[in-house]
Parts: sequence; C-alpha cells; structure tokens
Amino acid sequence: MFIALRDLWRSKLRFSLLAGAVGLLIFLLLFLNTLSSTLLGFFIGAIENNSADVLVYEDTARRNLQASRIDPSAVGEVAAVAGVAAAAPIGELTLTATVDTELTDLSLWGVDLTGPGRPDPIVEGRLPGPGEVVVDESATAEGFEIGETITLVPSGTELAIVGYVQDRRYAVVATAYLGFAQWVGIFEAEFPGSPIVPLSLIGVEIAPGEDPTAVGDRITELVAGVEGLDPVIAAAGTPGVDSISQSFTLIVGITFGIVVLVIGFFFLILTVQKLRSFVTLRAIGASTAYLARSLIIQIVTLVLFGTLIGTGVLLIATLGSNPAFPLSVDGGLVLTVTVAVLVFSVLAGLLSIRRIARADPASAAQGTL
Amino acid sequence: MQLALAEIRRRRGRWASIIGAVAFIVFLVLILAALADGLFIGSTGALRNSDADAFVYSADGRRSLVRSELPIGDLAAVAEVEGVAEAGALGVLLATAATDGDLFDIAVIGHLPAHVGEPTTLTEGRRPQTGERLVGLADVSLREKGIGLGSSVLLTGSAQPVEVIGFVSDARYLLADTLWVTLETWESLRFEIRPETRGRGSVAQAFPIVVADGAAVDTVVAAVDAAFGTTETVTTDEAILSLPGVEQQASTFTAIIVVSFVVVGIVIALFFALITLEKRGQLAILKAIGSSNWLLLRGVLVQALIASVAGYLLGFALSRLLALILPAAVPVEFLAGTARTLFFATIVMGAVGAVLSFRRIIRIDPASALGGEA
Repeated sequence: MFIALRDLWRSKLRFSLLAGAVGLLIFLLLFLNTLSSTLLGFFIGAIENNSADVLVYEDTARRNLQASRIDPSAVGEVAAVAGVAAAAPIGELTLTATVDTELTDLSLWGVDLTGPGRPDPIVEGRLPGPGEVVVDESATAEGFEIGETITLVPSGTELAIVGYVQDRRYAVVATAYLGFAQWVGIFEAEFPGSPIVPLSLIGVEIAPGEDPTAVGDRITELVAGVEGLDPVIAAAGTPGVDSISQSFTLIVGITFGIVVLVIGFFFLILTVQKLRSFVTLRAIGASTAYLARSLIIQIVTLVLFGTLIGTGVLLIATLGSNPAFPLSVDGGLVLTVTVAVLVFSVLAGLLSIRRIARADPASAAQGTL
Repeated sequence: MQLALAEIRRRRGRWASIIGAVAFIVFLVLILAALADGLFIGSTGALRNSDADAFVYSADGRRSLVRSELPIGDLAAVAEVEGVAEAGALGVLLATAATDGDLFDIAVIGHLPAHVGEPTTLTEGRRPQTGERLVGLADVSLREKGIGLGSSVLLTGSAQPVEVIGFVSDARYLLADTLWVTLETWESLRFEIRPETRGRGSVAQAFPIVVADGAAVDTVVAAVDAAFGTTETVTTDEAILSLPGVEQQASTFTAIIVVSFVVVGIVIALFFALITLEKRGQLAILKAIGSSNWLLLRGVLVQALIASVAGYLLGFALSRLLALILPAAVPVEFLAGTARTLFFATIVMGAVGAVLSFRRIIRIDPASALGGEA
C-alpha cells in the first residue's frame, strides 16, 4: 500500500502521462455517449418522454409518426377498450415558421392539454391558452423564447410562446405544443379542402394497476387498423432511430474495447519494466498478494485521476458546445463508464500480476533478469 | 537504424502491443468514417445521382423536397430564364409498401423522363416514357426486398400497383429505397394516399435545372429567384446538405472522427513518450559511447513509422472483417479516398508522436550513464 503510493509520488511525470492518457480516453467514451443520447433525444424525445402511457399508431405506419394517419373516430373506439382510463387525439405537423424574423422549421403538436399526451411537466411558464404554445426548451437556441411570437408561413397565423417543456423535441427541429382544436384549424388552413383531418397518434392513459404493454396489445387486437405501443418501444422503433442507435452502440462498444485494451497495454508495459524491482521485492520476502494489491491500488488511483481529467475535459467541452446542440454531463454515465473501465483495467492488470507471480525470486540474486 | 529495427525484433511483445493499439485506433476511425459515408450516400443518392447544377424550391419549403411546392405551370417559365439550359421537375412521396407481408419504407419520386433530375445510372431494363403511367425505375436496394424486373409494387393505402421496368443504382433518398415514376403517376398516387393534398392542385416539389455552357451557376441561381420572387434556388451541393439530418449527421460524425483522432493521436504520442522515458538509461549509455542525437532521433522516427504502417494495415484488415458481420440496419460504405486520407493521417500521427519525444532524448546527459541515476 505504502510502496504503491510512494512509487506514484516519486515518478510523477510518468504517472501524469498515464493519467492524462487514461483521462483522454475516458473523455472520448463519455463524449460519444453524450453525443449519441443528445442526438437520439432530439429525434424522438417527444415520443419517448410522452406523458401518455400508451401511444396508438396506424398499424401500417411502421411506427413512423409522420406516416401514421388515424381516422378521428378511432379515439372513441380506443377509449372503450378495457384498461383505458382516457384517450385523446394527437396531431403533428411540420411547418415553416418565422420567429424573431428568422425562417425556421417547426414541429407543431396538437394535444389535449389536460389529457394523455399533454406537455407535462411545464418547467417554466404555463399551459398555453388560445393563440399560445409551449415549446421544447432546446428551441431557445433557434429564437423560440417565452414572450416571442411564432408566425406560421404561409398562413400568417400567430402563436405566442408562454412556456417551456424539456426533452420533448421531435425530428431534430424546434417543437411546439398547443390545444388540439387550434391545431385542427392550422391543419385545415395548411391543406384547404382536405376531406378529413387525420390524427398522427392517439394518446392513452391507462387505468391504475394496468400494464402499458398489455393495454397496448389489447388496443392492437380490438381496434382495427391501429397499433398500441409503450412510448419507449415506439420511440426505439421509429425508422432511422435503430440505424442511429445501432451505429452509436457499435461506435461506443468499439471505443470502449479500445480504451480498455490501451489502458491494459499501458499497465502491462509498466509492470514488465518494473519486473526486476518486483522480483527483488519478492526475494526479500514480499508476497505476490502484496505486490498485486500495490498494483491494483496504482491502477485504481490512476483510473480515478483519469476519470477526473476526462470529466473535466467533458465539462469544458459542454461549456463550449453549440446551444443548438447542447451536450451535458450525466453523473450516472460518468459513474458507469468509470466502474466499467475500472473493472476491465484491473482485469488487464491481473495479466501483469500473473507475470510477477511467475518470475522466480532467485533470479534477482543471479542477475539473470 | 539497425539498432531501431533490432529493438523491434527483440522486443516483439511490446511492439506488438503498440502496433495493436494503433491498429485498434485505425479500425475505430475507419468504421466511423464508413458509417458516416454510408449514411451520407444512402441519404443523398436521389439528388447526387443527377445532372442538375441547381434545384429550385418554393421559398417557404425551406429547401425540403417534401415541403416545397411549386405550381407545375411555372416549369416553362423557369426554362425560359436566361442561362437555364434545361429544367425538369421532381416530386417525392414518402410511403410504405409490402412484399410477402413485410412492410418497408419507400420514397416514390416523380420525375420527367428524358429531363434533368432523372437518375443517371440505369443498370438494367428501360426508363419510363413520357406520359407512361404506373411503371417505374427501382433503386437496386429494392432487390433485397424481393423485387425484380416485372414485379409490382403496391403502396400502403393505394389501389394502383406500379410495375418495375428498370433498375438504377445509388438513388436512395434519406435511407429509404426509391421508386422513380413519371410525375403524372406520382400525382395520382399522392392524391390517393394523401387526399388532403388534392386541394393544392398540380404541383412539383422542385425544379432541377442545368445551367447553359459558359453561364455561372451563382448568376443563374440568382436570376431564377429574381424572376419569381417566391422561390429559393440552391446549387446541388447546397441542396444535398439541406436534406433533413444530412448536415447534422455529417457534422456530428466529423466531430466524432476528429475528436477520436486527436485523442488517440495524443495517446499514441504519450505511448512513445513513455517508452522513451523508460529507455533513458540505455539512451544515455548510447550517447556516452558516441551515438549522435541525430542517430537516436532517426531510430525513434523509423520505429514510429513502422508501428504506424503495420498498425494501419492491421486496422484496415480488421475493419473489413467487421463489415462482413454487421447487421443490415448499420449502413456502412468503405471509400478508397477515406482510407487513403486516414493512411497519411496515421503516418503523420506516428511521426508527431516520435517528434514529441525528441526533446527528451536531446536533453539526456551522456554523463548520467556513469552516475547510475538514469
């Protein structure tokens, strides 16, 4: 124990180089993870974190909200299914809008403001009334701030922003929520003479004690032409999302493997270089367990320092990140990555320990090392 | 030089570790680049694979093929604008279709046969004739869905099957398989599947244009917008980057690749610095018996280059092996250009790593070999 920390203290340069390298690799891992969760959140946050317990899609839409078109009469049928406490229409329309004189894309959601699918919780401001919307907070980067007015193009409809919700962005564009009746009016202005106003989704609140998946399956079975899904499953099934999340899983997996291998290599080289000292220590009576403990202490200390450095670099990166694509430090993620790297580094270190154990203490006296 | 090579030979274990580390890094970056290229190629084929110099959109469509709408009657006027040699029309309908009960996404793209905008890479069969209804060209990716020449594609919500009469390559749109039909067929499918669009009348969603020989693209682009006032005309490159998600994906991946490369570059450099640090004693002895700084530096550089090249080759081979076992949902595309760039970048990175330990070597005092403090 004592000798392990003394060794670290005496060769500060060598160990700072190592801690720096470990830190950078951990930063890379954290950065990739953060990037992928932010990107995915921008794609499907509105679905994944929806306040409804079950989301109902058209069954041929392949869980693609923009391809899903449900006849409004289906809301009553869904509400009648056992286990459904409430059902409400949800409409989505991607439009062009101006805010602060800038033209921008807007995903506009019409929801029952007190029913399933409502924007909840409102983190700042209040629920929208007529002529008002709440927006996802990330849209502030595009100029959508409380007090600003959104003008829809080309209809000229004006909507005042009165509140924010969080993590409710959809399809990587600014996302706003307003009352369903008003959304219908906007749809009709956008598509004059449309025979029906199709719903994108139906939001369902389940009765207490019911399971979302079971209720979803029951809806799929009993109501023709629709599919009821748990929001998290629906989000994961959104087209393109599995490509993105699989790509990122692959990237993060490979990076993780490399980080662990490289850190393992580091310690292996380090031990090999100190083999002579280790053998001498064994010759004067130190047990292999004692040396192994010292090595593990060094590895743990280094990885912890490395994590501090990596998290620090990530913090700096988040401070400098683009407001339109905010990156944040997730404490749970840092912990998971640290523990995982720690476990695998110690495992890699055990390889070096095997080498110490196998060395013959007598060779220290003979000078054959 | 001899010494450097001999060291690698003698200490195979350690150098195998270093080469292994470089190989993994090269492997990571190659896979990342292949993913980025795969996403880009699969998303943008429909626009890249055309002769168009620029695309005309409606101003409120924000360069989105899906949301832009232009009265089809304006086509003649666009073709009349000075500097426009030829104009075509495009419309896109995102839909689903099924073969053997399996639903898949499909983008039906309406175009004018024999006009600019049609995909240039016909690989099999023939193109639709002007006015020919319910026949189309399929992207070769549709073969995986069991579609061949003469197959019919029936869209969900439609009663009008489209017969496939030819195949084109590299013509996908936003990672969806595409079916290229005449503008008339596209319109009738659109009215059927999206009845709310009937009220908008006959429209196209973009006019691809070819600029006359000798005319500057920028000038013609400005002339079109000036003539209409309600359009936004962009060059083909801008149109590609404006496809939803394409620019974000490209910049996200560039960020990942650059960060990965910088981080692992530094790590490799640290690796070399560490190894030099460990060899201080031996290097001091070499200097004491008369080796010049230059000789030692050259040795380190040669070692770094060998490690980089060997690491690159191994990483390259690994990435190709992984590509064989990847699931189909992961779109990877290996481009020779990317591999070449990375090769040079790896060499440079290895050299930089070596150069970083130069100062340390130069500072070694030969006398320390005697003092035993090294």
